[in-house]
Amino acid sequence: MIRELPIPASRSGQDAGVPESSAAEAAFDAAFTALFEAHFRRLFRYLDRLSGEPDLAADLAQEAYVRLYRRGAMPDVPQAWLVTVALNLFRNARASRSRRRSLVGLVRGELAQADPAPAPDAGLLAAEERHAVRAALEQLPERDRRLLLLRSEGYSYREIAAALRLHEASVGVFLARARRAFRAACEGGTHAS
Amino acid sequence: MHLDDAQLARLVDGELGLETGSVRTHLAECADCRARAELAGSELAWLERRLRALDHEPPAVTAAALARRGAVSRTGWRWRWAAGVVLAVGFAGVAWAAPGSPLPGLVRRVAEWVSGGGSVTSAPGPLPEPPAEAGDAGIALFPGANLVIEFTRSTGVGTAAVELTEEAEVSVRGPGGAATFTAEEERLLVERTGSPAAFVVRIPRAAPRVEIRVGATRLFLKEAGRITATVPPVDGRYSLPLP
Repeated sequence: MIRELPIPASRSGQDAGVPESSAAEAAFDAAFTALFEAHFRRLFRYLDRLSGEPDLAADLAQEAYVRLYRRGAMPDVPQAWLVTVALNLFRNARASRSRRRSLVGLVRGELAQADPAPAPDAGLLAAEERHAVRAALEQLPERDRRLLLLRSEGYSYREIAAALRLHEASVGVFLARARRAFRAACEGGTHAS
Repeated sequence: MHLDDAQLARLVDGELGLETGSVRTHLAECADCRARAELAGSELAWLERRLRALDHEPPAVTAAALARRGAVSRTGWRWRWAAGVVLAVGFAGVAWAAPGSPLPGLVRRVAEWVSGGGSVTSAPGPLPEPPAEAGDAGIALFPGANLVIEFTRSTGVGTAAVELTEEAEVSVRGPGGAATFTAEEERLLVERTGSPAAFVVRIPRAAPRVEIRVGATRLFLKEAGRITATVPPVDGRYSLPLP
């Protein structure tokens, strides 16, 4: 897919009209596409769950991939690299948007569904469920929240350790603690299951 | 001995690795741990169901579109560098042509010395030492999410004074001719020429992660608000000896 693009001079070192790229660049492009196809959705979902803002999550996930492409070489643990970059971007975005009250504020979809206009019961129940889950997540320490959400997206212990700069052997311990805390937060909330 | 919570977590996550055999053996013999493992599995499924309530559809975007954006921004980055070089050349020209500028005379004396001419007013000798004050040459760039500043090893004694600033850019400055600077993605290479040099490295407090190395040896690391350095700060400045 990427090889069909006109190769800009900056990547190919040649005129933009010359469609040839080196074998290394072609291999990188292929690896980039494969990584995107396999992991973009879960990076977006992780950021969406973490931030509570699907639009922001979409921007951050895309920007992380853009930066990977600009890097021009695959890092040792690409998925972890993408998560780290996305989390740094998220921190910058959060810092520059001080008007936001908290890390896991209301999602825009919820705001729309809070509108008094007629809505199906299923939609209201879903909104209540989202509020309850988000409130429970908000009670967790930052690290536990990130751990829990990364693992729920299928990131391996190795990738989680690399992304959050933890020892891989500690990930299981922290995860067990985070799951207990999330369960307790859910049960302590109004909407415990 | 029963399985601990971390082992149960690794079990339900499929991350047991080398423990797999011993844990399976234990589960076959221990009804308590089997019950705990089943509970952990069902709790994990419950947790996944709860978290799915937060999900939205991902954006409709393709790898090709993101690659195109990456390629364009890389081009932009190179254009900025090219513009910087043009500006530097322009400033050098102005400095050369300015009335009373010492540059033409200095260059002429150096040229005469190099060519071995006899009309040099001072005795031939080594080129002047670079000034002790840093600031004659340098580079500034945005640190991004992660930046490694790597000094090459040198036979000359060197120091890097690190300061935290409120500025947006990382800057590295040193005596003219003491080093060449090469900026890459997430890396700034400072190649020392061998003469003694005192560098000044200014790092924005807001930079997420900046590391200073000599070769593979880490001398300084700033991660968010946490700083690790080989020397303690004096008046807020870290004077790192450069081997």
